[in-house]
Amino acid sequence: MNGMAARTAAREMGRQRRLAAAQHVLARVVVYGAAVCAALVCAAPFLWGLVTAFEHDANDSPRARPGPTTEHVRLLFHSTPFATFVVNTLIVGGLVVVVTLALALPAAYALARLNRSWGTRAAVAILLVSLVPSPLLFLSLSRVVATLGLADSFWALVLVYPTVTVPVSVWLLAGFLRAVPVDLEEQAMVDGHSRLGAFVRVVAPMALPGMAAVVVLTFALAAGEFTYALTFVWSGSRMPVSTGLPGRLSDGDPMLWRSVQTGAVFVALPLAVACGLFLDRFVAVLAAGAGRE
Amino acid sequence: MPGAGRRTGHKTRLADREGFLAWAFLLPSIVYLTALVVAPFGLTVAFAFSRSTSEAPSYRFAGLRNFRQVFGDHVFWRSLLDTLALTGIAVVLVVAFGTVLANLLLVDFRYRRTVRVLVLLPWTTPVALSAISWRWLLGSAGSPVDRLLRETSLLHGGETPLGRTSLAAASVVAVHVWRLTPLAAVIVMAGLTAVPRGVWDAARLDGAGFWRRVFGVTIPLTLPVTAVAAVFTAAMTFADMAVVRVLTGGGPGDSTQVLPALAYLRGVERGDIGNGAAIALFLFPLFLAGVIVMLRVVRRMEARP
Amino acid sequence: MRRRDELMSAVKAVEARGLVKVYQRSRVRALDGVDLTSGHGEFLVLLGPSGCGKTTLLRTIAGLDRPTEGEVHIDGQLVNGLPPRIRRVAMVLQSYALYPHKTARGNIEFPLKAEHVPRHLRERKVKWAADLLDIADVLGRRPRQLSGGERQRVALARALVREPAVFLLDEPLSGLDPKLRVTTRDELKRFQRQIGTATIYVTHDQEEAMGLGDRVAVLDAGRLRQVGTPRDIYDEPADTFVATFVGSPPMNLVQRGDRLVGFRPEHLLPVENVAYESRVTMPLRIERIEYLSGDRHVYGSVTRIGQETRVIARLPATVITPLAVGDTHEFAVPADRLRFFDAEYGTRTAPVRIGG
Repeated sequence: MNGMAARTAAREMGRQRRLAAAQHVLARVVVYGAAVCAALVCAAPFLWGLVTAFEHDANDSPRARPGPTTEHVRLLFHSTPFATFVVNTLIVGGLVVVVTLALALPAAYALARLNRSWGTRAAVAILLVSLVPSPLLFLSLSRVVATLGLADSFWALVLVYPTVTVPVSVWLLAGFLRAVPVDLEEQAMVDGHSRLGAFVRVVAPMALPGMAAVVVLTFALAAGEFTYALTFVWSGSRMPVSTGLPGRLSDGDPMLWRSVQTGAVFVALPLAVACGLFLDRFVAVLAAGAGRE
Repeated sequence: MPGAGRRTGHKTRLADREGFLAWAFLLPSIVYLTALVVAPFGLTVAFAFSRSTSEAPSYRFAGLRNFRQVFGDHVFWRSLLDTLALTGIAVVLVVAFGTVLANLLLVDFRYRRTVRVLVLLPWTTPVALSAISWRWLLGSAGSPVDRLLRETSLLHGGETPLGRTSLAAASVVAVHVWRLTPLAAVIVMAGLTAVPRGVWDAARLDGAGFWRRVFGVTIPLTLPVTAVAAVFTAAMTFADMAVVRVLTGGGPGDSTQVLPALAYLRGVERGDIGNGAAIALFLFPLFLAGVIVMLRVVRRMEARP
Repeated sequence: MRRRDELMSAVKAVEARGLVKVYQRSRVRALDGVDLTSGHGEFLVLLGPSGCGKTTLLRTIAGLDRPTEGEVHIDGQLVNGLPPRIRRVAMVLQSYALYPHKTARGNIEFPLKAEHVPRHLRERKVKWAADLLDIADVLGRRPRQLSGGERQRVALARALVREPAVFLLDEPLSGLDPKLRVTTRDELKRFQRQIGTATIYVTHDQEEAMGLGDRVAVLDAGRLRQVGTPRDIYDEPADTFVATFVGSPPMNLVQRGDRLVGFRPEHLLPVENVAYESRVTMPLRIERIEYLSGDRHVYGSVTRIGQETRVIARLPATVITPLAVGDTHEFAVPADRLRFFDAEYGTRTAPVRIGG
């Protein structure tokens, strides 16, 4: 290359380099900006809730001391059955988790390991069930619940909630179980266990982290359900937190507004943290499922 | 050879027979779901043709009476249109934002962990509770949203966002979008990570700029998962009554009364089961549409190696 | 001819100076100061075990990874900070990374479309590349309908149409059947000769490296151990790593004081087969004999020239000395075939006299 062409080429390279560097910086700025935006928007109502939880109400008496107050939090626990609601949710959630695992784990194993021609179709059918909207069912289910004598008890919820949690759990668990190599199981069978024994002794322990993720998700789904809870349980002392707290709004003292939404924040945060711990696992198993199909 | 005709003494244990095991394991779930989903659905259809109420729940056939009632009810039509519009807008927004969020969360940056947890808040929180928080954010004096709306003179005097019809509807859409974007993002993230890593490198090496990579590679490869995310979003939006009930109570004046909420009002609160069931049945076509899309997606994904 | 001018020019196709790559999270030094040059038209092979940094080096040259320190020059231009497409490099990844949703033709066309090449020119180039790689009749198929060999050729065609200054190949044969590997190796070399583009090829298979490379660069733990022609690497290894990594079976190393004495299995023969002048003898206690492709591989232990060490001797079919397991037989190595290394650092040292 003669001198002129070489100089032009070098200049062009320099320009390209600066352009690339600028693009790189711009990309970083956009990423951080978008991340901050997303985080703020997603947390917005809870942030506001936290901020106002410790503020004085505009209607407070003038002799109240300045600075943050824990009055609203105190009211939450003393003047509303918040604690009862949370306990109810915990109990119902726990029972639903047990029932869901009992139903979903074997089904997931069947889908993951026992390769039958109807395997994929069954899996898809189960997933489609989760799409059935609850309003289509709640009227009939309320009749069923009444007939079984479970009206206005949280056992009705324990009975019905798994319709929401089982399909998703089967899918996720099947994904986690598929990730356990078949070799381990076959080794166990060669070593003298039956298929069932191999499952219990070898596969289940390895899928434990995945199962923990499903437990957390199931609990979150059960805690969040509203329609069935509203339909089947109407006495205050038995309500879970998802219908109890809003209920306080309609018939409670307007002064309790701050306390009520503080309660909402208190429930939201631990759930999000718990799910966040398992997010990577969810994505990984969904991805494996997507890649495999 | 001696013994060739004799059966071995060791019988295959029941727990080893594959076919049996598969059925045994799957059966409880299938029975449960059939009993508590498929059967009740049939029951709902039956109720829609009945004259049952909560005081007189025995089944009395009533032909098309409920449907005639429903068709003549302008609140129902408004509700149906609102539900469709709400769902449509929400799905478009959720898919758009969700895809952007999914890509964002896959980039490596500091505090990504924290951002991921915060971004999950909307979806993992019980619907009703986040609706409470939103109502507080939108309705309380001095809240940032309140102030913002006043600045842009979308709001005047003593109004709250939930008191004006247009703003109330927008608020409901906004809460649904806020709630479901993380879910869509997780689903799309799964689709993105399923793409073999080399493909991104190859695209960069081939000289594809940002937009060409997006339209030529990313979007075609994630179309199936995006469809799945859209279907789930739609299902969770048109089936939900918590947001409407807590946020606006259906108001102002029945303007945000979506189908599920209407069905609940009529069927449970007013006790007219037949009427409620008939209203709820109109959600079935939407469900069916969702099922068809999912089946096509699955078929398409099965065609890949 | 253009190629000869390029070969003679002082400007190298690829030049890496002082490349260092440290991964922040794991503090791993994937590249620890690598200096390498490759001339126009040359087939350079990067050889090393997994984790030695050869793929990192390739990706750094391509522009997919940024080096922590150091410079990369392509065709005389400093390319640090430039994205891959500006560098005029083409890379074929180990997995081929074909776009699953496009046809073979669509895959090959993609880079041309990205550079806004007009359609008639695009079609001509695709045809040229497809004919060269003999895949013209599968252009309409999708990657999942192609065999491993066909996918590889589509990936090569996609790289070829960009007419790059350098081809970068990352273990392209590892995904193929062993039988296919040998024939494809030959085709690849002929292909490169025909195109005349500088090529950098990464592999962990020393046989592949020795067979394909004009020059071979041996890497270990992010450091370049030796660069040279296959013959140089084999006959004059720079350290014990190169000596044992290249050559199968590997070079025998016997500790003698603060030195390691090295000799290749094919030079260790029964004493009666080695010329009397300047040979070094040692008794070999035979433990095992393998018969492979006509050769005899004798496994045993030697003493006298150093610590008792297990060694391998490779006897060609022409050596018919009878040997049996359990015997101790005198073996010898021609003195000029001995190589000496520092026992502590492994580097090559000057020869030491050993009594005959």
